[in-house]
Amino acid sequence: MTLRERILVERVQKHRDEKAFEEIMRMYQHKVYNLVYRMIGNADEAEEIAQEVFVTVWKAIDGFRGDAKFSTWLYRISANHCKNRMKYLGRRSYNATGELNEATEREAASAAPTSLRPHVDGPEAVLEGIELERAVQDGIAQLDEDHRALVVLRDVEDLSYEEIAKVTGLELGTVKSRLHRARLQLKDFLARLLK
Amino acid sequence: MKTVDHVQAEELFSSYWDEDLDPETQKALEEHLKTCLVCRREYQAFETTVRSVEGLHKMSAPGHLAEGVKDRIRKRSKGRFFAPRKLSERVPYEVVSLLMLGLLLAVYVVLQLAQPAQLRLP
Repeated sequence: MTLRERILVERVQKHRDEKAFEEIMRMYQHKVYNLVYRMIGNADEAEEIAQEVFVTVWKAIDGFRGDAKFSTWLYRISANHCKNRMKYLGRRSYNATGELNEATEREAASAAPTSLRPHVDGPEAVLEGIELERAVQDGIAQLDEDHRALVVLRDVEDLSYEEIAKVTGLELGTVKSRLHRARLQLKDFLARLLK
Repeated sequence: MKTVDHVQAEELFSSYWDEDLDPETQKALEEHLKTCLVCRREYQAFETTVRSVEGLHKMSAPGHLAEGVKDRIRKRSKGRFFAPRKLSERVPYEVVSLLMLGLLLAVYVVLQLAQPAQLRLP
């Protein structure tokens, strides 16, 4: 945990400092939203859940003891909120049409090129990028809650195995084996889609 | 020398991708992938899958997310936290002072203009 984070967290814990909490939100809102969005797959739901994550942080921050990174604690809250929501909504949480909403498509189209995107930027290339993103997101959505969390934490958020173990409460070996199963499921899903 | 078979090879894909294999096992897997076309294709598909997930662009939180959080906390705490700020807290004192001075000056000018012209005494 950085010194700045420690100071902000202590200010919120000791004085319920609203400015400090606002700064914490500014620091982490994109990470939280990205994690939640990739687990839930729907922008409106993701916004709702991301807001609830920070409400929980405000209410439960006295329980953060500082023995782990603040981000680890935050990810744990985010993942738990997502899992609870997924259980409530069912396995797939898309809107009725099953499509990414307009805001997401705009973001996807304007995002920096990834290694899988075609090098030539034109309308067709942008469309391919959006379709690939949609296919991958569909693949993540068909995983169960636990597998989904592991793929998103590792391959989207780039957490180490040890951090994922702390976030999920799983043993390190279990994290590795379940992550592997999840990746294989995703591989098979994409292979069927491309056939 | 250690060797791996097809089943073992697939089980090692994640660890290999994450560079989490001991050198001997890594070498054994690489040797197997060199000679086994099926496993090599499977690994390439695996690699493409993980790269695809890693390549998902990072979503940005909506601009009003923080305000939404503050609203929720305000409602649930019945106004105890994140209450709307008073005017004196939102507008700096310096601005208020300047406005007050300006107002006083305006009142003075109006009063001066409203007074009838005074006759000069010889």
